[in-house]
Amino acid sequence: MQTTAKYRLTFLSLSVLLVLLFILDLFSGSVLISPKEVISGLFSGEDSTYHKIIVNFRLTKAITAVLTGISLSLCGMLMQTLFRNPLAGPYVLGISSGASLGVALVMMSGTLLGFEMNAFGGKLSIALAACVGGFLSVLMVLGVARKIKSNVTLLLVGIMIGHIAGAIQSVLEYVANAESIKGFILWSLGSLGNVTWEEMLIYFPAIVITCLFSFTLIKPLNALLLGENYAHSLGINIKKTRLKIIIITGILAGLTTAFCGPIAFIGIAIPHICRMLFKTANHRILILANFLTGAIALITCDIICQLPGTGFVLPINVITSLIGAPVVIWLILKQKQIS
Amino acid sequence: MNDTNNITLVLKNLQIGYTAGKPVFSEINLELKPGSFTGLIGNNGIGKSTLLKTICGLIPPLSGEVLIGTKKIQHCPQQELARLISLVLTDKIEGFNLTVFDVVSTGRYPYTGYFGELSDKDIQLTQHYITQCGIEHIQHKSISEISDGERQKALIARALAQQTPVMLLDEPTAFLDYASKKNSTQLLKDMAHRENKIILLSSHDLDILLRYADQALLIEENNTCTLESPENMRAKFYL
Repeated sequence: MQTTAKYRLTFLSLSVLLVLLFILDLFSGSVLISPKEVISGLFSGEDSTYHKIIVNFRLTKAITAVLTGISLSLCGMLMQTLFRNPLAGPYVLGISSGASLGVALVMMSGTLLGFEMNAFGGKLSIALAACVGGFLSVLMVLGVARKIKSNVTLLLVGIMIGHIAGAIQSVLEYVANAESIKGFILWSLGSLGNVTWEEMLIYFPAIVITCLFSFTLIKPLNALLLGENYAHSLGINIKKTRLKIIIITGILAGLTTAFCGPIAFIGIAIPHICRMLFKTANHRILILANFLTGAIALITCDIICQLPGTGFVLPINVITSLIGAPVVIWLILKQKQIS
Repeated sequence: MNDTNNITLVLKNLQIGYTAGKPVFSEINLELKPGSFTGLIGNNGIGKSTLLKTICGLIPPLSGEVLIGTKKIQHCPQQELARLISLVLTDKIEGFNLTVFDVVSTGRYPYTGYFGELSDKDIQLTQHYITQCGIEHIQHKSISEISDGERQKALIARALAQQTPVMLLDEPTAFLDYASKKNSTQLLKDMAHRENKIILLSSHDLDILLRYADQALLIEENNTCTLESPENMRAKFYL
């Protein structure tokens, strides 16, 4: 846990890579637009078609990819340190499922109970419900984690929580009307392209503020690597730390799920990639590393799933799962060393 | 450390346990002086770990009090307590890129600021105790890659780096080979004397413990708790 100097080069290269990928993301999409037209589209008048595609779709999508990647990676890292479990993450432990259930409740019970919401208010209540769902799932997993010691068992519990949430969603789908079911299913496939500029006004500041809040956790997180007893004996307030982590993961997993749908495996995989890249246990470095690597990962996935030039777009989860799931398998195979 | 020279550890009518009305052990009265290395012995399940956890405030006493100097640990803020008592527990420490240096340096946390940045002095002290414990050759190795004996030394170095007047160790020599057991115990005795610390260590290795300890605290059934010289204790166990 020494000076940041030796990490400066890695940070610098990752930042440059992120900027390049961000620009590349603007230039690539299912509709082929020449680079010249992309640039003129960015600065041209409101009504040109290219302007609409570039500014109102590709730019928001790229920003959403960055914010979501940052959030999910941070969530994963916080949970892995809190649970002292390399297999922890918002998706695999059912946090995203809990948030999804919150979304399902709002999306489908609205029509059921006979009230109609405007799009913006609807999105707000969906976001709120997702955060509450996220909180409750973190609490539940935490409760279980304190009872069981095995890392893999906790993973199974998370999968079960996911199934329970899924089952309740199915019941809701059964009673809801066709319109809201369609909306819900489209949402549940996961997409980075659904955030409008209006919604960005909530999404952007909420994510940035919550992520910045995580810097207050550097010291407690480092101490927690030794376990709760040692951390306590070093003067760390465990209860307060745990509560902060639950709040941050609840908000981040909730917001990203509400705005983009459940995004798989980024949360569990990126923290490990960061630990391998930076070879440090110091969370001061790891938090920043997760921000950069998470953003790079999700924006890369976004570029890949556009299948540039083909006219087709794959759901983002197809790509994140293809990349993330093997990481989880590799982690389980490596368990002998970890647990 | 000079201001802590005359701090004693006092247990007054201490009753320990996890549920009220069901004490694991009652009526513990004890005073330990600085510069003393005390062995805590007793059968499995008698309450050695519970006693150590109560002294360091991880679990509250059922009644009675623990005093360090004039401070009651029950009323002591956690931050302050971290500068009074350091621990070596049986908890496993593993993985996530933690090096030996990282682990030892956490001992300095009670003295660092909000973000836990180590000052030059903290790094120097970490280095100092790493050297004192003879693990400088492995300080950049991962804590999960080293042997049990080396890991135990790293944890001892960590507790020493915390520079507290009281240091508690829960069976630190279990799972170690004979040479490492002797080695670690000798190291602790030296540290207790050199740094004028109160070191209380629980162990089942009577032979080694009674060779190095200044005194031994025996806890037995019927709530008997005796503090004796190693010679008397050895006679008691026919060693």
